[in-house]
Amino acid sequence: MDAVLTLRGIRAGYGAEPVLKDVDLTVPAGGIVGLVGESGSGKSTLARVVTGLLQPEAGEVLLHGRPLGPRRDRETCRKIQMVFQNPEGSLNPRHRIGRTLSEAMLFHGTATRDNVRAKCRALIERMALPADTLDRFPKSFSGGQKQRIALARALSVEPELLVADEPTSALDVAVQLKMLELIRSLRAERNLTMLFISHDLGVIRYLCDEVAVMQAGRIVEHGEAARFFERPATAYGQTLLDSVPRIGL
Amino acid sequence: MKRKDRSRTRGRRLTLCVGLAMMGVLVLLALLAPVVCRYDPLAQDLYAFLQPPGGDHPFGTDQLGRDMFSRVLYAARVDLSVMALAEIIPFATGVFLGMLSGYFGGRTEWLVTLAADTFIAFPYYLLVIVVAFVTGAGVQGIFITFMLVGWLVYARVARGVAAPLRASEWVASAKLMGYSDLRIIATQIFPNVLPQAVVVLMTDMAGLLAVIVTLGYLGIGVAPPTPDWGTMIAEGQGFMTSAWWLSVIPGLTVVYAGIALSCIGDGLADLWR
Amino acid sequence: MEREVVLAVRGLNLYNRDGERLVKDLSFSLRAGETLGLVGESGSGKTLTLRSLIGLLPEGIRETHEARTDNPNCAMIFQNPQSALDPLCPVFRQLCEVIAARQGVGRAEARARALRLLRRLSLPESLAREDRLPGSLSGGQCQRLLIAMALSCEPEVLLCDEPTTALDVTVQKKTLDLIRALQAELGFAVIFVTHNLAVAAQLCQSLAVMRQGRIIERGPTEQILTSPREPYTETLIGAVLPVPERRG
Repeated sequence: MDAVLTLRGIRAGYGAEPVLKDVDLTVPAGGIVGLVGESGSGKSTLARVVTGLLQPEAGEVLLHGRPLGPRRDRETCRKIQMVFQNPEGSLNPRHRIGRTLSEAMLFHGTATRDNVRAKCRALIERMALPADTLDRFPKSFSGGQKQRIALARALSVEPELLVADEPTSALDVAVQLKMLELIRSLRAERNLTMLFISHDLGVIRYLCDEVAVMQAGRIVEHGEAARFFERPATAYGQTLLDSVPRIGL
Repeated sequence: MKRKDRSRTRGRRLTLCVGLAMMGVLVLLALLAPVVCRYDPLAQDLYAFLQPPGGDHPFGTDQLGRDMFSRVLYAARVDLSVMALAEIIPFATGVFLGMLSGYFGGRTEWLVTLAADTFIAFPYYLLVIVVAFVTGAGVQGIFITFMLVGWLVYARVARGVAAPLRASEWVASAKLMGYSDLRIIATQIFPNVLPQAVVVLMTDMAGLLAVIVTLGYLGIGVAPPTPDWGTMIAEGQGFMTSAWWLSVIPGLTVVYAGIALSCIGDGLADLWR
Repeated sequence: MEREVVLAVRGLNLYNRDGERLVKDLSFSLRAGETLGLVGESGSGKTLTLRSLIGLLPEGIRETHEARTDNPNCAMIFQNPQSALDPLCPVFRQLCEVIAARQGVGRAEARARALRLLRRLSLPESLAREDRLPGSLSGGQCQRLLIAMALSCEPEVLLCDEPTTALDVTVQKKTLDLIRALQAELGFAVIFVTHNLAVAAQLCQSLAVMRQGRIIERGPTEQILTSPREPYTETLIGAVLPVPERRG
């Protein structure tokens, strides 16, 4: 089993007290690992470490077994992409969608000048976005559409690992379901490897093969999703599971 | 669009259109001055001195018989071009430094703030007078002084726009894409800074025009015999009761240009909000 | 024996500045002790409805109605607990001020009642001794304090505008349990606005589904969940991602 991402002994934070205390994590190729935890647990900080936006104080980040240094080259950047939580901030308000997508693809060579327009159009269609999307500015789109555009941007450069930091938390439930269905179908098509961060166990169950539970800067539990939902290994995991409001059908 | 939305947009567009039209007329006339003006602005005709506006001389003539209409337009060429040219370097440097300090924060921001705090302490007119004393009267004093202090306001605006963007997700995405910092500043941040900077530019130009005219009035700006609204106002002062058009018409032209620029600035600000 | 109606509204319409109707012809009635869940997505008008009930409509919103309860005795709690408190005033003082104002008692008596409320809501009594600002409290504690402030108005109806959306799931459960316990003890009615059907199902005996300004379906929770009439309701139910029941 090839691990796309490995984190070993990560210590990271923003001030005197590190948010991440000692984190080990592996994401296997083709798998979706769900990272669940409450506010302050360090989930977003972990995402920033994985994507290189934050440098760890200690420990290493390994991509296919090779450690990543503080400066990532173009190719390494291409391989790890991210979708963020807030749809309102995820796109440059002064760039048309077509420019955002084509610039990324041309920069990383996943399209040439000849075929970039066609590839953009194909990507937009796959994301079930309207036909004129490429010529419009972000502010004319709904939250759900913006998230799908952000997803398109991340996938346009054909990354090996996609980090999603609560990508559906700010969306209405019906819109959220559509987005998750889209991710599921894309996963099958492209053999996506994902680190999916969420506070919502229902979403995690829908999408993820493995569940990792974060508490106070550490991963306290990590295993198969099916087993977690049947019987969590830790008391905290059990508390989380019990707290989820159920519809009782 | 709803009825009320449409009328609000029309109001905004009206301001912008009025401003552009006003400025457009002035600039066009100034550019076409050699064609449009019947008289040479420097040609004296002592038989036709102090003629009130009307007939051959739509703006009248001054105490040396020079045609006021062509003097006003030729002065427009001088004053407006000094105003525009003097803004170029401060605008460019100010926006650039502001973006750098907003985007990087930390030590860069500290350095730029230090420079800004130093230059903001200079009293503008005093500085101009000193420079004029050193280099002699003329436009170079204006250029030099404005290059030293004019960039401050653009740096502040650019920093104000760039700094909060530092934390935004799309800038993080750009970094994740592997774009270099310079590329991000130039292609991503700049388009967000430019609209606000241009709005400030319009108001700043109106202010600079007032400064140019004032310095001309004081005799340390544009040097005679080059026509300049400020010197014209100063020269016409003594004739205020007998030949009001010598000072008032150039003065009104300055006001006209100032209003035009303000309207453009307001219109753009509303348009790009 | 039917309980009395504590809040009723008929034919409520809310218009914005452009004349658009945001809430269309809304009618419902609430009985003492009842918990009504108002479920809908963003833009459905649920928050505006709540605000009109308590008289807190934002500027520019115009209201017309056929009939409504005059001056209902309501209190409201909001979505973002930290921003609902004065950030520069110690929280205990804020609580005492509300009690003194609403219950018309002096400072000493207000402090005593405030302490009792703290105990009832399982908030640390140290809040009374130390000058704690809202920023130093967790989201859950802030929300409980706001519930305390709401209760000090001795309301007949507690209006809740997505009070647990910004809270962690474990804190959410505690808060919902708290509201349920207080309701059993004090007997007030609750209108609970949320976009999360599961949360509404957890707390509420009856549900009203809102869409584009109208209530499209209303009834007992169990009936709505097992046999929804409207396709939109079915969509909302389908969008709830299930988590297995705990075994053993």
